[in-house]
Amino acid sequence: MIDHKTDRVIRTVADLGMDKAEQVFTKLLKTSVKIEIEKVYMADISDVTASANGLDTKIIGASVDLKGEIPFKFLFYVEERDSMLITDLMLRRPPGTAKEYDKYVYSAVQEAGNILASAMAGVFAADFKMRLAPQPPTVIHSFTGAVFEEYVMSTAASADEMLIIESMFKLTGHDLKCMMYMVPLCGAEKLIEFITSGIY
Amino acid sequence: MAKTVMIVDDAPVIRLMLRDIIEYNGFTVVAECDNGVQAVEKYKELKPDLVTMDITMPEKDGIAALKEIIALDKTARVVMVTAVDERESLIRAIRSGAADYIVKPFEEERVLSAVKTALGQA
Repeated sequence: MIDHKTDRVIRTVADLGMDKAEQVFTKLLKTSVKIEIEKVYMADISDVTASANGLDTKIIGASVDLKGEIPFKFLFYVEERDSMLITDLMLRRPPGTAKEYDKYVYSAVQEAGNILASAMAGVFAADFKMRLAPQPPTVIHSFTGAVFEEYVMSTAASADEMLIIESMFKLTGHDLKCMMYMVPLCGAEKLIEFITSGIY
Repeated sequence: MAKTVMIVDDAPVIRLMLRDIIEYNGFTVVAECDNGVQAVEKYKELKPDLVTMDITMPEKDGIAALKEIIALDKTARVVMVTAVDERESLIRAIRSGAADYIVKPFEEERVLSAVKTALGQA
């Protein structure tokens, strides 16, 4: 059970991040985007992975390493079918134009993840004086469980907890379920300490 | 004769977005590259009038490629394209000889303005 102060810290980070993400997504997709945070919490990596392994949803996502004083692994994904809608909106085409998972679909999700990771890095830099440099993103097309195995469990040696932001992106006429995960590679405690010192 | 442009970005979707904007406005895209190594090689071969260059790329990033292109040709005109809030990288790019920069996600008007300014057509 996390204390009130920690809860406030992670909610502040999520709120600031989502405000920024809303701005960049609205501009990227050229349609009004409202992001609703469904849940934001710190969770033990092994618990999250166990739960994700139970899911066999096929997803397309992007993994971005954010290098800096407190490095992160950032993971963003959408359900497979939603990736085509993102692609059509980015390319200013009518929804339904994309028919297959081609290089443009992968690239659209990869770029969406890249832009969101950069937005989060911007929030950390502006509000908490923490410099984070996004590295080239990696695109992922697999089942949720496999993604966690490869991209999250690989960090488990250096991290114990992860910041999870479950969000719903509401576009005009469409709802996109998007998931964002930020894993502080130095451990959650150091991250909370760093951010807390900037808030209190 | 239409001015020539080379687009450098590791994301095919961004290359397509830029190509659409650039060609629609009367410029000719002579090459697309997905990393800095290719960009330097293609620049030597084609000498385009303008390069749009992503900053964060695998193999060789955009700043390193920019420096090599400027070392080859001091008159090269390079517009950097980058994701939000990489301000320090942008400052480094301008100091290294970039003509302008575009922040992703971008608007068509901003791309066109940067291209025309860099080509002295503003």
